[in-house]
Amino acid sequence: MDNIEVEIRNNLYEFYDCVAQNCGIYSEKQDHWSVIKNIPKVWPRIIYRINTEIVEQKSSIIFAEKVKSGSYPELLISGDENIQLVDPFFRTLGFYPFSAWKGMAFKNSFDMVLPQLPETVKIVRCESADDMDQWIQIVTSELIAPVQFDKVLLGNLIDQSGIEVYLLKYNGKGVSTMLVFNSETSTGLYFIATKKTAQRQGFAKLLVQHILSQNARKSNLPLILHATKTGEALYSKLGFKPFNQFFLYRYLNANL
Amino acid sequence: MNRQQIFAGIEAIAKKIFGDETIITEETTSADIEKWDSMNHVILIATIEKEFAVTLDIMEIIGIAKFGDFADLIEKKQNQCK
Repeated sequence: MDNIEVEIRNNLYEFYDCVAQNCGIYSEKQDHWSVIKNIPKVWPRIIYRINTEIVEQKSSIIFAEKVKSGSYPELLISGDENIQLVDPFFRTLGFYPFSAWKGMAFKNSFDMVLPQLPETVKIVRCESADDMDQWIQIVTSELIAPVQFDKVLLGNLIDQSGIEVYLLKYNGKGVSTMLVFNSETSTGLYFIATKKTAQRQGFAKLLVQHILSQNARKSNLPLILHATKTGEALYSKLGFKPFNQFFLYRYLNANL
Repeated sequence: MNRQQIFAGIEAIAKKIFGDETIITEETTSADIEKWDSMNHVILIATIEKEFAVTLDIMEIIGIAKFGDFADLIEKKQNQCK
């Protein structure tokens, strides 16, 4: 797994580029950051991915001006290089950190066994309108509220080659979600979520195991994901190893 | 300010953000409060920093899991200033 930290970062950034470039969403690229813009209250409203070199470059001025003019992001993702230096810069502009993701990677093994699913559980590629609605409802409530995932965007993503959207159903109802993004050099797992009422019953674990073994049959590229603190323990048990960290910021446009 | 006073301050801030009816204990986590999403988390951190006149380090912030962790951090910061 040489340069796996770079791979973990690139897959994340390529995924957001894919969202921006292939789904009709405005994307403005600068030297050290890019913007993805959509309509208010719908994910992704605006996302900046940040190269932390920004604070040492002229582009930090452009970035600051952009934010001050009202083009502020819903979510800002920063890598962990020089984070202690970058954090005060973000705070000056009104961004507060709220969480972190741990970049994790899994080395494929061709002898992985496809897990036996109970009769009550089915894993489907999300294609019908009803499946899409269920997927959006889970992702929205468990991961991205108060903004909502855009149905048109999800439809566009489903049609993209290299993207697979999964829904795990228990007794016919969607309970867990995942989106798989295949870059040329890695496979990224995104939007892994389980409905609150179905959590701690092993559904996400089943879904991830299923995708891991399915992927092992067709590719030897590393699988990567970006785990929250809660998810990290689960993914470690499944064989993922922790690497770099990503910090998440939100813009606080309010007088407290 | 003692631990009890610190926690009372945190509780008052939290009730203002999440609603007066919200039950706040040292062990309460984001999973216990429906309104505790990322935006309210950011508002909570910023308000606590302002009210207690402290700045929380990014590594401290991402380590916060429950209300008791906020009280621990503020207590630690106060002791550092003494």
